[in-house]
Amino acid sequence: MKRMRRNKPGTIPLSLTSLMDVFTNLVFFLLLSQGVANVDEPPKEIKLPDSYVDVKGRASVNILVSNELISVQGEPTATTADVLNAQSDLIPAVRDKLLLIKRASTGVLDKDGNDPNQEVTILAHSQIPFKVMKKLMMTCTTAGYTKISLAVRENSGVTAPPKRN
Amino acid sequence: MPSGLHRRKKHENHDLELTTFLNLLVVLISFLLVTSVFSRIAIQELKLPTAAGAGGAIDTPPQVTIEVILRKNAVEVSLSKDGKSNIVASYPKSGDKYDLQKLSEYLLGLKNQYKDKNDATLLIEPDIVYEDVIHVMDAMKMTRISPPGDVAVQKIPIFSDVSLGDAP
Repeated sequence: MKRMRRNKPGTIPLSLTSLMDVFTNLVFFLLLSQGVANVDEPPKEIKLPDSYVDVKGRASVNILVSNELISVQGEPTATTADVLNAQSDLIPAVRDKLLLIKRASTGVLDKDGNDPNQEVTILAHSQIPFKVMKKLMMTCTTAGYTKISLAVRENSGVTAPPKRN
Repeated sequence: MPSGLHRRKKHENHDLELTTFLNLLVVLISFLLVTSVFSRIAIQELKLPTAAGAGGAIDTPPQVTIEVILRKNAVEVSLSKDGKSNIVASYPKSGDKYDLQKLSEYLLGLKNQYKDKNDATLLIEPDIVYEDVIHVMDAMKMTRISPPGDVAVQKIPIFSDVSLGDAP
């Protein structure tokens, strides 16, 4: 530094302190905003519905429902059209897959002998008919997953609600 | 003059070599910016009818059941009391949207009537789009009002435990 300044007299040393402050703040902000995501971001073709709830997602079995496919834990399991047209409320392929996951997970049983790990999160495209969702939920409960959560995109409430009159 | 010389000397002593640290920060920031996700995911928790029976904590059956029925062209509120159920409010769909604000206000009135009631049932016709179901669930769980002269939006909880079912 000293030599540089001696070589070029008249150069003003850069004041980097404020820049450093900005950078440090940015790093902390990004680190914090990253740490909270428990549910994986769904692929592009699934647009989650907006909601004002602020319950954070928990790690659980994921079911993705797009316009074409239903995937359990990332593996395509059934087509949405088939489910929509099926007569019964049960989707055998999804149920089998869920049972397989349930059996594979070496969950600790609670005192009643139940597996506490019974949670499933459904990430569904916002334009899916509810019929499909109902069948899926029925299938989940039949397979022993009784805690069902629906993933939504958190709307922080920046847009004001309609005024009361 | 001597004092100025003294100051400059002191200043030089306090110079820090920041270049490496800055490099580190720039790399970190670009990495975090690329991997970060800005839309946050929350979850709507469902309270399924089967789960309620397993608890065994409630001895007496609830006297009042509040049901919101989501139909293709309207949203209705049904109140069951002593085995009789009747529809107490109905809000037709205006254009493409359900009148969720009115529904929320009505449910808030019901909540004030039955203070310790926390559960409600949402009954849905099969052809409703999933997005609308979520929005109605939102309206059942909380109402959002912005008090006059206040920018902040307040959330007032209504019925936090929503269960789903088929519309009759």
